[in-house]
Amino acid sequence: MVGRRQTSVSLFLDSSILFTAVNSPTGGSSKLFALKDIRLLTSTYVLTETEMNVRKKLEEYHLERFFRLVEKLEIISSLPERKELTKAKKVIVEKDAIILSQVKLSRSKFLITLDKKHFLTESVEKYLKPKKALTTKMFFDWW
Amino acid sequence: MPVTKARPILGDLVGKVSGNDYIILTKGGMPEAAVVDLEYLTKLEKEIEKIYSKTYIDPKLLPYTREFSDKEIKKWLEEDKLQ
Repeated sequence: MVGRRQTSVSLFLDSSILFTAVNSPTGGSSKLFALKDIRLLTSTYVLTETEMNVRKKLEEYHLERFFRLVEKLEIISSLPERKELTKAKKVIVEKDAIILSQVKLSRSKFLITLDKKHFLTESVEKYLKPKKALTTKMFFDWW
Repeated sequence: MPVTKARPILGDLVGKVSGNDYIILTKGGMPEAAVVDLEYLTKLEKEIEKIYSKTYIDPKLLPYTREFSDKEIKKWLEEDKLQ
């Protein structure tokens, strides 16, 4: 497994996680918000992308749920420096490079994502080290 | 309640709705309208206004975001199931 259980863990949530937590109250993404002794981090970029999609793709009541969930998050507002962004762009598609570099610079232990295709690759693993990218399933196996 | 049945007793129905209670009027078995307490309706309108005036969207970041496809949204829901 990924590692030993700790009492205080910080997770960086990407847009796929936040959007899915809003979309479904029964999945692993939603369950993250109910965990104790855990810090949930995200960025203004993730919030912008997620809210834009919630407004376009989901129902009005989902937007209310989005706001409720965001209240439980610690928000990173600074954008990564160009140097870090350039490094991230070498291992992931441009649109995901902002998130990846923000994870790298954050105090999180894990990036939680449902986008396996882009974030769960060998090159991303090397870039993020010692942090790890996990899906909700992988995280709960570890937890 | 069918509109045809509601029509002659509309005055009574108006007196019956209060707070969060409301009566749905149907036409051909399908919901068409509702008799709602005006105070409740106003409260709902204010709440919706509040929700829509609130936002975390940073216009400067919007050009870097993308619209999720229906296919990936469905895939994420599958991937998110824990059992």
